[in-house]
Amino acid sequence: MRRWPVCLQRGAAAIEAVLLLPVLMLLALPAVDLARALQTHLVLVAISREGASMASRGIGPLRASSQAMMDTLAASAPPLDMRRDGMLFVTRVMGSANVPLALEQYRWLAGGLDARAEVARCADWDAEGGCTVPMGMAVLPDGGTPDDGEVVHAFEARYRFRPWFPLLPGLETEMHALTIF
Amino acid sequence: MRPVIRQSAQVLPMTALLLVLLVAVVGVALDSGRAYLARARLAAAVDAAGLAAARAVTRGEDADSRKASAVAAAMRAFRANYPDGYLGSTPLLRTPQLSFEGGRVLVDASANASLPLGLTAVMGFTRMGVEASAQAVRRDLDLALVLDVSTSLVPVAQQVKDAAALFLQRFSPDTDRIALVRFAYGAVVDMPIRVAQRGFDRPALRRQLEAAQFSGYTNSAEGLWQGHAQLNSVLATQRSSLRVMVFFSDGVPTAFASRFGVAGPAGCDVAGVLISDIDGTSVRGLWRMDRQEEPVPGCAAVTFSPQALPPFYNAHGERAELPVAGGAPRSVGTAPSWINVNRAARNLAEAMAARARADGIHVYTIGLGPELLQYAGADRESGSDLLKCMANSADAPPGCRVPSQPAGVHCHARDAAELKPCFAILGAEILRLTK
Repeated sequence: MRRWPVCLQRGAAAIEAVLLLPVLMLLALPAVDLARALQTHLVLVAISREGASMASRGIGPLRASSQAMMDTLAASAPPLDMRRDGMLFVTRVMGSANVPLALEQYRWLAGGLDARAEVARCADWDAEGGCTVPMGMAVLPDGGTPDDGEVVHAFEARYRFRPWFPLLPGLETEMHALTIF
Repeated sequence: MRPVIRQSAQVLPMTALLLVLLVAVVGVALDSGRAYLARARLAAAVDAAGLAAARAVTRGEDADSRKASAVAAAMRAFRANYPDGYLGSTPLLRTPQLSFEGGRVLVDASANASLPLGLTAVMGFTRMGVEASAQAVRRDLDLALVLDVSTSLVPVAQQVKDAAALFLQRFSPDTDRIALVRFAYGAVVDMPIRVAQRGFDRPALRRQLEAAQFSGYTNSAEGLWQGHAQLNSVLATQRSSLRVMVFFSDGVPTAFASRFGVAGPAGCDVAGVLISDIDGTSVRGLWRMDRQEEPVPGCAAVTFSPQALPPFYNAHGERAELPVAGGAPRSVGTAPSWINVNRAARNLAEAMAARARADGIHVYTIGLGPELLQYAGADRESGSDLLKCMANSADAPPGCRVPSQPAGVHCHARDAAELKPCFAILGAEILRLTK
């Protein structure tokens, strides 16, 4: 009779652990996705910063260099799969009497995400991923409008974040980072 | 057996204890993640602020107001890239420090952001500070602005002047050197480049621009020659590391200068400008090569000898590297026919640009008007292609691309309203090279 309670209690420990495990997993798994989301955002910010820097400091015309530049940026993005879930845009914006005007915009031809740029909306892309027809007013954050006749480069990185454990709805979300140089 | 019993009773309390630890660990991870994110944004914003200051340091009428405009631009660029309250943080950009070194402008910018901590707060830490700093450099620059002032530009004269004046706003009267050359029949240096010191007199340059009258044909070669000569007039040891020629035209070259074989009147065997109509038969001369529109005295209508075209461009001494008759890529004979003059004028414009590029000068070109896109002239060429060849731009026809020489950019403005964007783009391209 003495052994029964021991066996029972041993079993109870296992059962306790089994009962607790889902709760623990429920707590731990979103933490994994949270970390991944943070990392994704961090990479996007880094890409947009590097892209804006390359666009404003690089050598040669933007049209000729934009695709190679974006390829390089995407290659530095892993673990993000930019070719499947990402999209990059660079927009050249001119200040004209305190109004930002989009002059030209290039999108990354190898980007897999079907997204639109926030700074300016291109109506018709050409084969080189460019849009030079006057695109009208650009939308820049507060303080981003350049001086009259001055030009800034806005680099946007967009990415569809796919959680590994989509426990909650709405976790699959499009992330976005914008840097203006 | 007793120990076994005790152990089994510890699963729940242990879990509870570990859960607290887990929450703390997740909290630290989250908060440090946020801090990393804030630092990445801050670094980008500080970079942007430095660049904006380096760009805006040209705006204002005196050195103090230019510094003030640089600081103001830095603040704006910082705000645009680091929204107030990003992740709940409070950012602060310190006043950027500007230093002038030779022709360079160095901007040192730094900022910090303090962000409140979340779950880590239970461990007694409530705020965390992140730092970022950056330096932007505006390189020294010598620039020659070469403007076409031919008759065809009369209807858009004011837009051309305004766009050029706005363009000048982007260069620093303290550190950049600028020359202004206008050309029609001949080329005139409106504002010579400063040879000894740096900087330029922007108000005077603007007055010269405003006073420009538009009349005459298009002697692009002479404009390029003078622009190049201006840049080279700076002592080799004093030249800027970046040398740029910005060339604006609304047409194809139809004239060039040299000493031609003249049959009469006597005494007209001097250097002068010969013009041809683009699709015509007429060849006329001579005009002075150092005036916008002025005939050589007593030689306003000369007759040419049958082999009037010289073997080389010789308006400023014999230049064996600039062939006229026998030149390339368009074949030119010695007869003073409109086709030969037309081809020689185009060959020379390209050759002069190539000669400047061989000296390390970046050539940027702006073309205006739909005519440039049409294929016309002796060889059915478009003016746009010619301007691309002169710039050695990436989109130039393969036949004239010289990969070993500095590549420039050509911008085509379909109408006068697009001049401002074109000048803005060229300005951006030039400033890209200066940082």
